[in-house]
Amino acid sequence: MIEEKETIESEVDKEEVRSASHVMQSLVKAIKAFKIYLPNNPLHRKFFEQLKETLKAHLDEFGDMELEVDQFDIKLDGVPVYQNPETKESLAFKLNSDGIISLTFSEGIDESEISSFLEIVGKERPYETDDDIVTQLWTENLSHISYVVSEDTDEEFDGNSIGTGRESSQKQKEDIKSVYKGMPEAPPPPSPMTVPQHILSLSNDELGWLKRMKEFEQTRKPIDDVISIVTAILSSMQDIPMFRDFLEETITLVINLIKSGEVTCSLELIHFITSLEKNENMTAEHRKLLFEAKSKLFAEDMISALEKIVDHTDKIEPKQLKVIILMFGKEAVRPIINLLGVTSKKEMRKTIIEGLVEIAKDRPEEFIPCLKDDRWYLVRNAVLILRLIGKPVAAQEMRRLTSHKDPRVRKELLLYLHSISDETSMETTLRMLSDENGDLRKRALKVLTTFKYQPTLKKISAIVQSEEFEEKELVERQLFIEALGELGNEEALPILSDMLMTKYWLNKPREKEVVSLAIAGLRKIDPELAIKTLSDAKGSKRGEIAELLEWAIKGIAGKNK
Amino acid sequence: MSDQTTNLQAEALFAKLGKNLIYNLFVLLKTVKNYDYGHSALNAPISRMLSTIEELKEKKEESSLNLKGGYLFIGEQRLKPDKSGVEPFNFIMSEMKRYFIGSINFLDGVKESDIGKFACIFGEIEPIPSPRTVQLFQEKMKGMHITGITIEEFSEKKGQGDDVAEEDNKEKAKKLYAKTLHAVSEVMSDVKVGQSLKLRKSKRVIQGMIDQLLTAESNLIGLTTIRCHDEYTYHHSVNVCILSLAIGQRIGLDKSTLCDLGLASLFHDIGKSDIPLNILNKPTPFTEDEWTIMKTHPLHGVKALMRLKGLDMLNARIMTGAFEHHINLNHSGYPKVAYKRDLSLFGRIIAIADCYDGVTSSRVYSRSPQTPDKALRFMMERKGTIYDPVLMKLFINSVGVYPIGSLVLLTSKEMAVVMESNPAPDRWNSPLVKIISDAAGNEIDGDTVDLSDEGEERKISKTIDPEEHKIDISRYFM
Repeated sequence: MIEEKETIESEVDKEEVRSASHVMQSLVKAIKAFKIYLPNNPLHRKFFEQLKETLKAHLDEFGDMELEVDQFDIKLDGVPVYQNPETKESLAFKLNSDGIISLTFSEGIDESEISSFLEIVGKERPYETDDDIVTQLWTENLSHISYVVSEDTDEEFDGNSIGTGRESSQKQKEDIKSVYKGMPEAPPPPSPMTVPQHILSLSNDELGWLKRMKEFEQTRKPIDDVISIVTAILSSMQDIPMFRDFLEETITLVINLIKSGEVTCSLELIHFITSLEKNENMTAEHRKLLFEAKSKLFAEDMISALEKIVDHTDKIEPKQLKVIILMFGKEAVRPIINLLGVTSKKEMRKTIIEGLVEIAKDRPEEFIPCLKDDRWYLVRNAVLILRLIGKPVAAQEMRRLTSHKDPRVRKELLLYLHSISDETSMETTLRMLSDENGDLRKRALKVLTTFKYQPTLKKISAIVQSEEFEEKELVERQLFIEALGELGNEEALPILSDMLMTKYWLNKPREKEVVSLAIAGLRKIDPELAIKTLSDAKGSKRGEIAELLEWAIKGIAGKNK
Repeated sequence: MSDQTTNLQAEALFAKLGKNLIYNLFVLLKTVKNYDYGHSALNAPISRMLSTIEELKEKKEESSLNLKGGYLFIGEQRLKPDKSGVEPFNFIMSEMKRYFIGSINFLDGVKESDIGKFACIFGEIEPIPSPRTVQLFQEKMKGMHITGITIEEFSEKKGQGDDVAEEDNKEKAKKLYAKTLHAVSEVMSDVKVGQSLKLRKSKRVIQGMIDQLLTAESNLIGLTTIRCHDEYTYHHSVNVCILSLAIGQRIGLDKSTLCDLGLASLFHDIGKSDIPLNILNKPTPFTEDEWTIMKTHPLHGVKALMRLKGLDMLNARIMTGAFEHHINLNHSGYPKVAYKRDLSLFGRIIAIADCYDGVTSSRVYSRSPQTPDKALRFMMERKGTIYDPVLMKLFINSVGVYPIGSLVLLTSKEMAVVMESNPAPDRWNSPLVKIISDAAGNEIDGDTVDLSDEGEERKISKTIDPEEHKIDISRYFM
C-alpha cells in the first residue's frame, strides 16, 4: 500500500516536472520571439500565446511554480527543467548572473505580467546601463512573479565593519560616568514638549500642497531643470576655467539632446548660447570662448546628430531644422550638404534646400563637388540650389550633366540653364537638343527659342534634315520646325520650301503632315516671305493640300493686316 | 493524536490561511490600482479574499491582520513569509504603514462589496503615515457603508517575538549600510578618474534600502548616527540618502520615484570628488578662499554628471539634487547663480537631510556637531526661508521630536538612547528608548522601553550632548 502511494507521488512529480519543462521551452521560445519580432508580428503573438497557455495549464494543475535558478540550470524540486551551458543564450545564466536564485510564477498571473517579464528578461542591456533584471523586476513590481536574490555577495559586506573608530567599551563606561559628575541627587524634572504638537501636524492646506507638489514632480521634466541649471550657471559664471568647462559640456549636451530627439530643448540651449555674448556679464575672454564654442557646436557632430533624427524619426519639425541650419551659417555649407545627401524625406530635403539657399548665396562654388556625386538626388538638389541662388557657376560640370544618367537631373539642369540664360548656359542647353528624352529636348528647344540663341539654327537644321527626325513625335517635330522658322527666318526657307514641294505619291496623308509642319514653320518667319513661299507651292498642289495652303495664306495675311 | 499535535496542525493551517489572506489582499490591492470598483477584473480577487476570510473564521474566531514590530500577525499568530512570498508580505506591511493602519479586522458578515470598497479606498487617500490618514480612511469606510471591516491605528508597540525580528532587521540594515557605503565610494572614485558613471550597483542597494525602510525604518535611521571621520563624505552621503528616503516615504512617493530620490541623495555631494582632499578633510577652520572652493562642489557635481553620464531622467534628477541642495528655499544659498526655478521636490528633501546630518555629525570644517534636537530646532527656525516648511514637519515626523540617536536623561536618572520615534503625535515626546546606564551612571545593556506605555512613569528630562562627553551612540544601533 505504502509502495503504491510512493509510486503515485513520484508519477505526480514526474508529471509536474514534465509540465514545467514544457513551460520553460515555451518561455525560451517566447523570449526569442520578443527579441526578434515586432509586437504586431504573428509569430510574436503565437509564441506569447503558447507560453500563456502552458503556464496557465501548469499553474492550474500544480499551483505556484517555484524554480531554483543555478548558473546554467533551472530546477523544479531539484530536477532540471531547463539546461543551457551557452553563456550567451542561457536564460539560467542570465538570471543567475544578476543574482536571482529562485523564481516563482504564481496562480492568477495575467498577460501584462508575462509580457513585462519577457520584456525584462529578453532585453539585451549594454554594460553601461543602470538597470539589470533585478532592478527592473523590482521597478515593475509584478504581483505574480516573485524572485529571490542571492545574498552571497553580502558576505563581503560585514555590517560590523561600518563605524570604524569606535571607542573601547571601557572608555565608553567612563564617558557615561562622566555625565553624572556633579549631577544633583534629586530626580530631574520631565522636560516640557520640545515642539508643540500642532506645529508638526499637517494642515489640510499643507496636505493639498504636498499632493500638488507630488503631482508636479511626476509631470516635471527633469530636462527643463537641467537646462535651467546650465543656463543659470553659464550666465553667471565669472570663473573662466569653470565657464569653459561648462560651455564644453553644454555643447555636448546640445548634441546629445538632438540625438535623443529633444530638439525643442536643444534649440533653447542653442539660442541661449548664441545670445549669451550679448549678456553684460560676459568679458572679452568669455566672448572669445563663446565664439570658439559656436564653431564647435555647428560642426560635424551636430550634423551626425541631426542625421540620426531627421530621416528616421518625427522628433524634429521642418521649421526647427531650418532654424538650426540658419544658425549653422555659411561656414557649415558642406556638412549641411552632406545632411541633405543622407536625407530622403521630401519635406526635410525641401527645408534643408531652403536653408542652404539662404546660407550659401555668397558661395555657390561649395556645391560644385556635389555635381559629381553618385547620388542622383543630391546632384539634382545641388542644381536646384544653384538655380535658386541664381548665379552662374561651374559651366564645365554643368555641361557634363547634360549626359547625366538620370532624366530628373537633366530636367533640373534645364531649369537652371533657363534661369541663368547666359551665353554659356545656352551653349549647354543646345547640347540637350540631342537628349534621349523627348520632353527634355522639347524643353531645351523652348528655352533656346525663347532666348533666340542663334547657334541653335544650325543644330536644328541638321536635326530636321536627319533621317531620325521622321521618327520623332509630331508635336516635337512641329516644335523643331517652328523653332527653325523663328530663329532662321529667311535662312529657313530652303528647308521649309523643300518640305512644301516634296511629293509623296503613294502616301497622301504623309504629304499633308509634312506640308502642315512646313506651314507651322512659315508662320514664324516674315509674313510676306511666307505668303510668297506658300503661294509658289500652292500651284503644284491639288485638292485637300491646296486648300490647306490657301487657308494658311489667308491666315498669315489676315494676321499681317 | 495528542492535543499538542492537534494544536500544531491547527496553527499550521491557520498560518497557511493567513498567508493566503496576505497574498489575496496583495493581489487585490495591486489589481485595484488599474481597475475601478465594480470592474469585473476585481471579482476574482475579491471572491478569493472572501473565501479565505470565511475559512479563517471557521477555524478561529479572530480574523484580524495586525502589523506589529515589523511583522504581520493573524490575530496573535506571527506569519512568516515563504521564500517566494516575501514580496506580498513587504507590500502589505508597507501599505499598512503608509496609511498608518495597525490592524484590519474582518467582522462576521463581511461581504464582497465591503472588501471591494475597502480596497478602493487605498487609491483615494494620500498615503501619509499619520493618525489623520487613518481617521480619513475610517471616515471613508463609514461613508461607503462598509460594515464588515474595521481598521485600527498603527502603533509601534513591541510584541512577542519582535526581538528576533529586530535583530534580523538590524543585521540587514547594517549590511545594507555597508553595501551602500561601498557603492558610493566606488562611484566617487570613478568620478575622480573621469570614468563614466555606472549606477547599477547603487540602484540595487537603494532598492534594498527602500524595501528595508518600508518595513523597519528606525534601524536604518539609527545607523545614520555612525560617525566616521576618515570617510566622512561617504558616510554622510549614505546618511543623507537614508534620511531623504524616510521623508520621501512619508510623502508617499511611489517605489520607482523613491529609488530615484535615493540615488539623487546618495550622490548629492558627487562634486566633492573635485575638491582637493587637503581642503575637504581640513581639521582646522577654512580660510575664505577655501570656503569659496568648498562652495563650488554643487557646480562640480553638475559638471561631473554632465560629463560622465548620458542625460536621462535619472541623471537629470541626480543633477538637480546635486545642484540645488545648498541653494535654499529662498535662493539665498550657493552656488550664487541666476537660477530662476523653484526648488524641485528632490532638492528640498535633500537640503533638509543634508543639513540635519551635517549639523549633527560634522567634525570636518571644524564644526562641533549639534545634538539631534538642537539640530532640529536650528532647522525649524529656518523653515520657510531656508527649508521647506511642510517637508520639515514630515522630517520631524520621521526622526521624531527627540530624533533617533538622541542621548537623553530620564526622570529616573537613567540615561537612554532614542531608538524609534513614536508615530502618534500625542506621544511624540515619549519615544522608544534603550537604557544605557543606571541611575548611578553605570553602563548597562538595558531594555528598550516604550515611554508611552501605560504605567510607564519614566519621562525624558533632557537631552545630553554625546559629543561633549565623547559617548558613542552608534554602537546601540549596531
